Amino acid sequence: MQKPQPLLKKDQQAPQLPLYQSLEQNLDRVRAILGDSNDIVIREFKLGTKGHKAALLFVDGLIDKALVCENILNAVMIQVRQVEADGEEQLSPQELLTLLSERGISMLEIKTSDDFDRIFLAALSGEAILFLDGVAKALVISARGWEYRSIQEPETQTLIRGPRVGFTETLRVNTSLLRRYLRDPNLKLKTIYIGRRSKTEVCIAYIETIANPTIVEEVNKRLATIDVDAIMESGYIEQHIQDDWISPFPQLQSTERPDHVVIALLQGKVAILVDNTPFALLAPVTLNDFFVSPEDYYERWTIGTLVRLIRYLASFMALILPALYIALVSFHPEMIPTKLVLSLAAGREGVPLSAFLEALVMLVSFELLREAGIRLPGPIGQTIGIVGGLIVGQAAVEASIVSPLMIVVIAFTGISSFAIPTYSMAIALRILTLPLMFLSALFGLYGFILGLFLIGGHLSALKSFGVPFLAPFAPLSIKDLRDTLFRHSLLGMHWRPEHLKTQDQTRMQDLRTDSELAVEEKEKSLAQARPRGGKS
Amino acid sequence: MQADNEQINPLQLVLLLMNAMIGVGVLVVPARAARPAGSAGWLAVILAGLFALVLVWLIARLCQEFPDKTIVEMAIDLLGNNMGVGAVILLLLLWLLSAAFILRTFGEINRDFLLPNTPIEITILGILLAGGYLARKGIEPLARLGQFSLPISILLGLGSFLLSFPGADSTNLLPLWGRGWQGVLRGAASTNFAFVGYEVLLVLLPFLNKPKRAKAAGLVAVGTVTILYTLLTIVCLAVFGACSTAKILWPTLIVARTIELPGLFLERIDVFIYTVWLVQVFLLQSIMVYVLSLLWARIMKIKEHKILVWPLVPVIYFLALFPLNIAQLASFNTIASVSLTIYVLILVLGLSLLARGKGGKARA
Repeated sequence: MQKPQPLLKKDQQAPQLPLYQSLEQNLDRVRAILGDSNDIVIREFKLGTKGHKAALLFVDGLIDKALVCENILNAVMIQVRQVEADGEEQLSPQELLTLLSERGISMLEIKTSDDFDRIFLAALSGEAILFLDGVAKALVISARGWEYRSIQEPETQTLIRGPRVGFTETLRVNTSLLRRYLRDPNLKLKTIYIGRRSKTEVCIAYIETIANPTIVEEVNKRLATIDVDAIMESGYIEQHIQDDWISPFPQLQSTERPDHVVIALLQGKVAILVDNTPFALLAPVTLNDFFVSPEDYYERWTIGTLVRLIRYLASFMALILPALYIALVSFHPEMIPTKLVLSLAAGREGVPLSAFLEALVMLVSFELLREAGIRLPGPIGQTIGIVGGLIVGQAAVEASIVSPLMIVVIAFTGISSFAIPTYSMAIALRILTLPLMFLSALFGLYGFILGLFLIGGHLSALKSFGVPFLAPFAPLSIKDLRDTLFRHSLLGMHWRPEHLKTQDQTRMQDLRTDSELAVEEKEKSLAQARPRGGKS
Repeated sequence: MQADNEQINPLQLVLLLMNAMIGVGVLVVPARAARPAGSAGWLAVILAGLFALVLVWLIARLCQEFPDKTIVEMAIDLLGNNMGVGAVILLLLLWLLSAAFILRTFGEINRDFLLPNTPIEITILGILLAGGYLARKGIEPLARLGQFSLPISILLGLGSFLLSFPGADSTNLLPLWGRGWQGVLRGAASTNFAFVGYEVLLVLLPFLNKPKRAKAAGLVAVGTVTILYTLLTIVCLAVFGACSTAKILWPTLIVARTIELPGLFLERIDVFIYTVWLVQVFLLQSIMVYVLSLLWARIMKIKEHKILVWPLVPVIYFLALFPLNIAQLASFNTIASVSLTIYVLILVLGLSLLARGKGGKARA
């Protein structure tokens, strides 16, 4: 059994598996551990005029071959000979190593290492390792280069107006995208490795002078507790560090858009970027965050506000519409206007199913269509939608399996759930629709309210990294309400969200008047003076 | 990470107190006031409100002297261990009875109004289980949910009642003095139960992050509820007249039934109002379960109130099922709420006097 190793603090630790002096022993060890996988390449060669034995270890496919040939092999095999010829005295292996790293190899990043664990990790993450006979050290040369998807427009969060840039699967590219938006020296990117076997690179990004240090610390603490063999996607991390694993609601936000991440960082949140996936995680989140799209800020405030209202309405409809229909039709028809009741009754004539079963059948078939549409390639997926939605729906009504109004209700529910910008939130609401329908079928409006109350109670108890999920509605913050149901003009958004308790609350010029500032100063000096006064 | 200790702010306390008060009472206040007081029913409501204001002020004043203590620790401090625990256990029992009867009343209304064929045992159980679920989560979620839902409910409720003004006839409010001052007094006594609930301040004050605002919070909460009840009574009296109001079982809902609006999608507003009210009842029960379990936990010196929530639920459940019929329930309810109010008054006055005496000694 291998123990999880804190890779972060490797530098301060004594090597657990120190390198040998002899090159032969080192290479034997490499062969013994890395085995004979045919992508592991060990290039042995002789160095300089004296013919020092040396070897280069790398993984084929993970390094930039041209770079390695040009800047490492060429340098150490040919140029070193000239350097050595200039010098009079013979160099020891140690001096040779220093010479190589300081003057020989023209690569950007070179480190020395004396620990096999680190060397294996480096080699397997795409770095070239140079062993030299006679030194218990090796040079770790950064020469990463592999095939990756180029930057494309993100498919899950498309905007009408906004940058057409999405994250890719390579962490370095993703962090560079963040840097392109923020030329702020306070943007910190801290890297840790998670996963016993995968050793996945995970990057924690935050703006040091804005983010609440306790939240950053909490994120770090929770990440440090993850002990799994591999991190396949940021979803693994999300599920390991969320507050409540039973809750259907997502407690971290995932996004493919660098601009979205930067907006969140500027609000004082922490982003977690994971290698091998274009989805970054944002923490902490509140309910409101799931109804926000970066586009809200790019368009003028009237458009942003309208869109927000529609999204809130959509989420509400996606949650309650089928349940409300069931409750009204089967328990309280007196609430529905008379004319509508008559046409409804006419539509339901001959339908053998109860309102609940009818809704259930329709919801299930809707989900079936949706799932089938995703699995099939683009054009066929659309055909499924048309055949399923139009033809089967029409036929089902004509065959008296479902009533026409039911189709309208389910269609509205479906469309509403697609209007929510965050997929995980839409799914959560769709899941909750079912128990709500069940309660409504059992107890009518009473059950409906019971269900809503339980959902509300759950939401008000939920926290994401210590921040109440319902903020800024409850606990109420009047200041923050300007970025919720309504999107205030950018000119009016002076403050960062209060519930995040950021270090730097103002995001625009200070609007406090001189007298207000003076009062604040006075209070501050009083607060400082008080403890001293107490002591004396 | 923000501190996880449970704290509520003054606004949340106001809304919690209002929530604890607005329950079954809001549906019957006009009838209860109109029966003895006639067309002066609204005066009776104001009088009852004033009494509640005085009592809540007394409670807040007492609690502010011990800002980090609930009634349990206060009573033990001032009365000694045995007496103190006994006094608080009596309070717990009265409270338990009043909560159970309120729950049962809710069940009866629900059967009358929404679900005539569903057994009352089931609806009561549903509300208790939901209450227990939320009560286990602690005071913060309760406060947040209250903050979220109560303003919406009040706005929707008030908005709908404004719509019933076209049916009102101001001559129904005459004579102003109704059946004389005795009627008004008796009306005040019988509407008093609708205000029961602000006593939870005895237990909730240690959770307030600004204890100095407790008095204001209590007064604002009771004052707002008084205004709401008074408005409601005036509307009912104006629409139905004193005689009819007195005879209607749930005048608040029936008055909503009179609302007619062209172009309104919903046929009957009253069911809509009922559902809005239902949310408040759920919240009220959660608060009661929370407060009772907290009180019990403090008496037994258990740190976590959570483990007492589920044992408490069956107790309330069976107490709620105890009355045989509505008539018996009504008399039980009156007895429980009146004795609770009087007991709280005596307890608070007694403790205040004792605290004054002790404080005086300490100062001297």
